[in-house]
Amino acid sequence: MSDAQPSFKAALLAALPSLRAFALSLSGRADVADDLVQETVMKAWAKQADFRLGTNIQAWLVTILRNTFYSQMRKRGREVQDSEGTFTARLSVPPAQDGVLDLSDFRRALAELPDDQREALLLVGASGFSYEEAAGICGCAVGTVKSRVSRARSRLQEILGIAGASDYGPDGKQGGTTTWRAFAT
Amino acid sequence: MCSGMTQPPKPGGGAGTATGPRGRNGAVPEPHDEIASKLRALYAEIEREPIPAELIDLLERLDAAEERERDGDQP
Repeated sequence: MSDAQPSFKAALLAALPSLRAFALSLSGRADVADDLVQETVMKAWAKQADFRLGTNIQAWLVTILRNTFYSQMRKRGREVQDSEGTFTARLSVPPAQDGVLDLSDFRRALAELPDDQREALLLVGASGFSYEEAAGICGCAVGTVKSRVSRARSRLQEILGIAGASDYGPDGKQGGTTTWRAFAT
Repeated sequence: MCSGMTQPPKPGGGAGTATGPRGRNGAVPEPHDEIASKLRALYAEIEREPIPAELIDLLERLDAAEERERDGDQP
């Protein structure tokens, strides 16, 4: 029994960089992200018996982290943004002089997205999860993830004033699916 | 992944093939996608940072505490 434990610790360690990237990109704040990752590590440690080595530890950790994130926000009285019902004001980031999009502009634009859209985009476009995995993590339907990703992309393009790579319809045609799946593998 | 290229599209099959292997019928497949590359750049930037010491520390403490527990409450 005791020899399973160092490998759990090692797996946890190996998963941390990507987990931090998700936490920071989701919350947009370094202090919040640090707390989230720490709390996730503690919860994961306490629940390590639930985790079977060989299964996807990244998905498991990300699930714990995003659940923690949303419950913290609720505790703080912040309404979890729900893109189905909310249309927040849009921020317009002026395009960089040389046309090269700055990473900090991108970060700001990302922060403008409704939480659920940002989350879906990060999971599929950056963390490398499939739509199915992302749906499992978010506890929603695959189609919901797809539409959130698609809307997040259009919204970002709008905010950043960049042209779509290809003009998929807002309902996420097959071309879009292919694109994102390519990044997910 | 691009596995669907084994069969040529059926001439009479209409527009909507099952998984739509990137068509050459006008639709640009996936050119430079700025959002995708920014997302990856964002992650890469964060992942390059060293893991914060407090986090490593936390893991060590959790590990040590568990070991102590296992060994039967030795201080």
